[in-house]
Amino acid sequence: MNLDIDIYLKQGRFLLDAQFKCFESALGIFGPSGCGKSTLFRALAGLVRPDGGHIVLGDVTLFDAAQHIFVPPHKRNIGLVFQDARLFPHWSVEQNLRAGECLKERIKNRPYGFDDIIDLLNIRPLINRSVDDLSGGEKQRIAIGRTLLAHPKLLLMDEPVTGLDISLKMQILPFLAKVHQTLEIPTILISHDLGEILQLTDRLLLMRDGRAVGCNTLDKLVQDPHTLQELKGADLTNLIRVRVKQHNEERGITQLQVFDNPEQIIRMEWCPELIPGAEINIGVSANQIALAAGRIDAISMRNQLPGTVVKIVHAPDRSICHIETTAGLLFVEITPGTEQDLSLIDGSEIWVLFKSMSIQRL
Amino acid sequence: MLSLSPSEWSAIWLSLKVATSVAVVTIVPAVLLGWFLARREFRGKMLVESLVHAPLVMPPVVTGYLLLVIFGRHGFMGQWLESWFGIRLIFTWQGAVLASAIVALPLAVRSVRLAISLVDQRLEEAALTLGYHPLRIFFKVTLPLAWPGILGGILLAFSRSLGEFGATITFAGNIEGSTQTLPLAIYSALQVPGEETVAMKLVIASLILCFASLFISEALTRKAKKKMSVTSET
Repeated sequence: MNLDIDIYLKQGRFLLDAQFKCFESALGIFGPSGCGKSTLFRALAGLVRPDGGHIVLGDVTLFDAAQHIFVPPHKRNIGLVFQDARLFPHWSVEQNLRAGECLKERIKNRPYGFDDIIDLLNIRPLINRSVDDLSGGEKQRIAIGRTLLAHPKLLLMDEPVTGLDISLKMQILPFLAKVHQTLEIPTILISHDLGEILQLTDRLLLMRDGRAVGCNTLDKLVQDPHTLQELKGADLTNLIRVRVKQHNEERGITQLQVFDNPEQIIRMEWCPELIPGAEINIGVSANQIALAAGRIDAISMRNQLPGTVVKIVHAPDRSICHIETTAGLLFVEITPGTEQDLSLIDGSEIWVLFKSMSIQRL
Repeated sequence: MLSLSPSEWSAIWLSLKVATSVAVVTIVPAVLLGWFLARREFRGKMLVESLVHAPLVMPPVVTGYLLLVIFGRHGFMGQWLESWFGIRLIFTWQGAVLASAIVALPLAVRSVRLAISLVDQRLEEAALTLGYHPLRIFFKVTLPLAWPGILGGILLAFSRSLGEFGATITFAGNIEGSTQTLPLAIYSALQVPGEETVAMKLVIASLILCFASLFISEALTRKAKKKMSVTSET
């Protein structure tokens, strides 16, 4: 994805004035509700016309106020999955899924077929059901399938799991990353839950009051006091790439090797469905990590990694200590008291401790 | 009591013919106007609205008179139609259709407009992002979802033209077998002393027709509303 956005849009008293560029294949947009995330999507999909600026995707100018260019939404090839699935109530589930397939020109070069998407999203049992009989999570999966089958060159997802309970979320979230990796469609995901975004990517665009206030990877955003402040309210999560090593059922743990440093083993709660050798992402929340001056043997924290303090970033409401460990650079939320008691300064040698239970699978 | 003479049957038959023709000719203008009024903001919208709705509040005899002025022998449309196509509307059953259609159109437009405005615009947006051309959206999404309401509106126009009197008698006249519809036949019967039973028979026939078509129209409108409420929940 090669996206260049610089738009200005006034809607009543709300002003969207966002500039950013994105070269990665996936991006998460994070910000409080009402910050203009959805309006940005609507402008990108062509459902609203900005008052000024430009939108360029790849080598196509979708909108340019100065040159009077406005590609209408149905010619943009941008798929948008709405928060409220928006299935057509007068059609069956299969007709909904095939909605975009009647446009032969558009799907001519589609590298995947109907059945591929059905299997990928695991929706075969739903095909013969009526749209009214679907649960919220099922509707959302059909909506994602419908959008994918229309062969978009960019996929926008506007809080696709907001409002669904946790079990329903887990029916959808894992598919997002899978879809992205399998179909290689550039994807932008809006969410106010950082954990949801991290399942797809750690590349983030932060928004507040209609403006783009930061665009970088999460660990970079956390290192800058300004963008750290913008992440206020987010559950900051360290992303670690690991390979499943082996299961130890008796001890109730699964051993993981850090991908960049196979010597380092991380122990997580026993998770039998993980296949040894598989590469997965795990998340460790910044406020679930403890610091200690030395290794502690008589403690229930199964994971203890040595590290060096690289940097301590202070935002008005929290402090984040960045530590280079054997599992990569981790950020840890600390209180001013901890900082004083352990006399943390740049370069301090420190141990990072976290429980096997605190590891989330992303 | 309900044994009807050939001329009475012809009045009923003519009424049904005129009303059916009105239903057919109002569909397209009603849907277009209803869609424009429901979905588009444009300069002069108030003017268009007032013009469309005017026959609803104008005395029908005024509507008939205006039609005479425009489509009569010396009216500009009347002259044009006659010299180019050899069509004469005045004092023909087609003239009765025109008069009834003008009077019935506002009712159809109102129903269509309501039905279309109840169609969730978010669904139309979703279709746009799937690559649907706005015209395709109109035919594949908007129209099917609004269809029961549109049909209700057309039936309302049908019912209204069954009862049309003033504009028809002014513009098309009261010619037995040609433009004498049911209400006109009732009126004529009432003018003749001793014809009260004929009038009564025709009144009963008229009531049956009107209630039947209103009942169907109402049922369809309800169905449309029910469908819409399901849509808005999803």
